[in-house]
Formats: sequence, C-alpha cells, structure tokens
Amino acid sequence: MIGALFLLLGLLITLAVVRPEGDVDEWRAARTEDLVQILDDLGERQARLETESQRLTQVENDLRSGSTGEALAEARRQLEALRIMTGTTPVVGPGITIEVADPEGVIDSTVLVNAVQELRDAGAEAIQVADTRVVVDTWFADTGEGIVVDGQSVGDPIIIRAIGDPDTMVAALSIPGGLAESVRTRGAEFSSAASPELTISVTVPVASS
Amino acid sequence: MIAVIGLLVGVAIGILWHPVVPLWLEPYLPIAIVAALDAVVGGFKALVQKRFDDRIFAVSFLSNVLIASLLVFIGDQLGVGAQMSIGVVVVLAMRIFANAAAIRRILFRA
Repeated sequence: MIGALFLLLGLLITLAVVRPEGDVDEWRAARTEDLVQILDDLGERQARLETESQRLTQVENDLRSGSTGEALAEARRQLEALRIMTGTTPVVGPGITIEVADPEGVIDSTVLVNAVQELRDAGAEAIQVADTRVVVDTWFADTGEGIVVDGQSVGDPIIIRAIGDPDTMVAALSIPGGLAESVRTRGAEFSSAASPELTISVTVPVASS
Repeated sequence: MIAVIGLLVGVAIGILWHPVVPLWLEPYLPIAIVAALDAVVGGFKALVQKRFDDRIFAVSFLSNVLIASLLVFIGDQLGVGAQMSIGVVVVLAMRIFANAAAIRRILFRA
C-alpha cells in the first residue's frame, strides 16, 4: 500500500520535472495574455507578408508574361526606392521638421542616434540631420565643438527633417521615454512641426567603384 | 524501506515509459505533488512519534491530493485558478514546515 503510494509520488514528480525532448518551456511559462498578444502579432505579420507575397507574385507574373514596358516600370520603381534608401536622390513628400534648441550643449550624439532610430521605426523614408542626409553609413560623434555628423558640425538649434507619415512619427517621438521626453529632461527645448510637403534636397554623392 | 523502493520504481517508470500528461491535468500536477509531500512529511512525523498507521497514511495521502486538486479546479472555474494554486501551495508548505519542525524536535531534541 505504502509502496504503491510512493510509486505514485515518484511518478508524479518525474512527470512534472522531466519534460519530453523538444518541448518548448518558453511558451509553457508565459501568461495567457502574453500568448494572445504574441499570437495577434504573428497573425498581423502573416497578413502583411501574405499581402507582400501576393504583390511580388503579381510582379513576377507580369515580368514573366512579359512586356518590356512592365519590366521597365518595375525596374524604375525599384531604382527609385533604392535611391531614396541610399540617399542619392532628393525626396519630396509629407513629413516633419524637428527643432532641438540646445544652447548649453546638453545633447550628445546618442540622443541623435536614438532619434534617427525612432524615426526609422516610425516609417521615415528619408532623414536629414542638420545639413547631412542620413543613410546606412552615417555616423554621429561627440567632439569638443559639439556633435558631428559625417564630419560636419550640427550647429544649434539642431534641425532634423524626416519624410514619412507625420502622424506616426510625431506619435513615436512623443511616447514616454521617446525623443521629446529625453531632450526635455536633459534641459534642452524640443519642437516638431508636421508639413504636407517637405523637401529633403541634400543627397549623398554616388560613389564610383 | 518499501517507501524508498516504491519511490525509485515510480521515478524509473516515469523516466523509462514517460506517459504523456493530458493537458487538462497539467496544472494540477505540481499541486498534487506538494499535497502528497505534505502527507509524506505528516506520515514521517507519525512514524517518529511511533503512532504511524498504514490506513491513515493512505487515506490522508489520497485525500490530500484530491482535495488540493479539487480546490484548484474550483478556483479555475471561478477564474481565480492562479491565486488558488498559490494559496494551496502556501498552506501546504506551512504544514510541511510545521511537521518538519515537530520531526526535528523529536529526532534531534532541538
């Protein structure tokens, strides 16, 4: 009798402690609300990717069935997207202008790097900091004379222009812990203005290889 | 002695055979284990007090497991499953500590 009960206890403990191979503990420990959130995110992501997949299939079919006109249009579209990404073409569109007034020099380069990241996350297509177009290899540094972007001083006030959906970007900048708050807590002044038509005319010269 | 053998056999069966626990049973597994441990410690206390009884031990073991699982089940139905689990585990742990203290006093007179 006692032996049987202890056998049961040993069995229970083993079942609770030993997990079968390949069992993912991560999800087991997660709370229901978190799991629902993760599932929602994955669903949204899948929907987005499916839309993208359909578009690309459409493009593929067009290219295969092939008039040169469509191929050319697609190539042009890609060229335009790549030009905007690499910063070799001026961009015009709705966007926001951010002004950070910092007479005492309390802002350092990390703030600007974070600002650029936040803007990119919020869907900014093109960003200009002071007189420099921000592209993949743009760098920020702190020097004795202030912040330097790609070798050029940013001056004061620091002007950042970003082209993209103004509402999204303004919302991204004003979240708690976002750019607006971090600039203000350091003692500098932050202001942003949305405009329906903003021009970023600074370009990066095309490197010859 | 028979208890130790039973425990080892149980562990061996668990490792070798490894039955799949049904999903609905899974939340009750830890509770059942703690309840069973409480019964075991209680039984050990009775043993050192020299008034151990097979039948009482068996009944307390099974009823402990059943009542603890039932409480958590009711808690789940009422939507307070997590809190109920915590409550049951806390109470059982307190009992285990109290019994352990009694055993210690008898065995080591400390």
